[in-house]
Amino acid sequence: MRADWFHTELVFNLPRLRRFAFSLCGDKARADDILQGAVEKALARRGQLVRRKRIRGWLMQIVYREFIDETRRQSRYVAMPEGNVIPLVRPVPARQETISECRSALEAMRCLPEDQRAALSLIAIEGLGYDEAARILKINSGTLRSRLARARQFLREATEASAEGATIQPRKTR
Amino acid sequence: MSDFPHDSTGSDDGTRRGRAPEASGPETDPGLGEQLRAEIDAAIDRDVPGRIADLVRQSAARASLWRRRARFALAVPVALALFAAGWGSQAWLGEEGPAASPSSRAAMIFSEDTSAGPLEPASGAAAFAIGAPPDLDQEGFRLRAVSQSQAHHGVLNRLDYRGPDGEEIRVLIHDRGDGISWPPEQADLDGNPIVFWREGPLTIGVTGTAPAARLERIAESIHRQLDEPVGEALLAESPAAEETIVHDLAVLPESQN
Repeated sequence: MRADWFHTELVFNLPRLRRFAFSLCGDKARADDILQGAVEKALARRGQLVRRKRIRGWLMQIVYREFIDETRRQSRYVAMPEGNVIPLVRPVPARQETISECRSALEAMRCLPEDQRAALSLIAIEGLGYDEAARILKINSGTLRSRLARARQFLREATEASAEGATIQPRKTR
Repeated sequence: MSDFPHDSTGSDDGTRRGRAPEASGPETDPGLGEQLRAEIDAAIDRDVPGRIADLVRQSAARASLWRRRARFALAVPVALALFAAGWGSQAWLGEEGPAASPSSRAAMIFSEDTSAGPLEPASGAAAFAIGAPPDLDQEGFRLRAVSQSQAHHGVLNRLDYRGPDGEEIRVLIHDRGDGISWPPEQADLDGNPIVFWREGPLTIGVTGTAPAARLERIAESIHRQLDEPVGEALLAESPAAEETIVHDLAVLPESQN
């Protein structure tokens, strides 16, 4: 039996998509939920993909959209009055930690706004080019570079602050 | 039609809200990426959850079913045959799969079958010769040697590459495959990291002394070179399998090296 290219590519990219989802949300179980939702959407929207070479970016865009949608869904459920509804998903953990408590680069990354986190993840972790990453995030290349620079600057400050035991507040999402 | 359904670019928030210094490029801070990647890999286990892999596998099986139905117009017999094949392959996966750790799976697939004796040119191995080995020039590795040997349930091709600083990696290609692809997994093989995966009829591994992240990039490069139909770029009919010329390298069965 010969697998078709779409499924072969999808399977090959699963670990990368999972890592991307985790770098966005910082929670393993939630990352798997995001990945599952993204895979379901990718299978359902297969017809939208024209060029095989674009599949990696296409899949990562679906993961990113799934993360955004899932975050919005979670914030809706969390806002509901207590006792009136059983949240279908876990609430987003409050990010009260300060940079001085960030013992690793990954923890510092979690303090970044999600748009900067996504830029950092695509470029620094996944090694994508600026154009491909910008298409995935639906921004232009200049915006991407700007977000990336802010993220790196923040991580540098975090590293220094952590070394000195200082306290820096997490970045606010715009 | 664009592959990106929302291809329009957004506003440049760097321009509107006070421009931050632009990043000069991913390569300027490779240590940060490597560090984050290593921390993420340590935080999540590498195996993709079975429920997600099953989702893709079931979809692939359905797609395969419909392709075959359309091709042969033998709806019921083909469906029965495919379901039977599906059950068979599940049983086969069970041999090495869920119960075994990635390292033991890698060892099982990529170890030589020492009891099998030398590779016979007239055997089934004749159909499994390397046509075009992966080109890893962009990764800085050049092909140095190719060899073949008998493995468990198939033929194992070993392609040895050397990097600019003398580091060596080995690409292992096993022809035992049933068309059910696996995502890349990281494991240990003989004390070195290995990244291995399956594409259609091939199980491919990249191992060596390089860090796992670099092996993963090489795996990605090999994956990109496998074009549809899967494996055709790598495999070609061998005229005799005694000796196949790959570029300027003589490919001999292991017993003759």
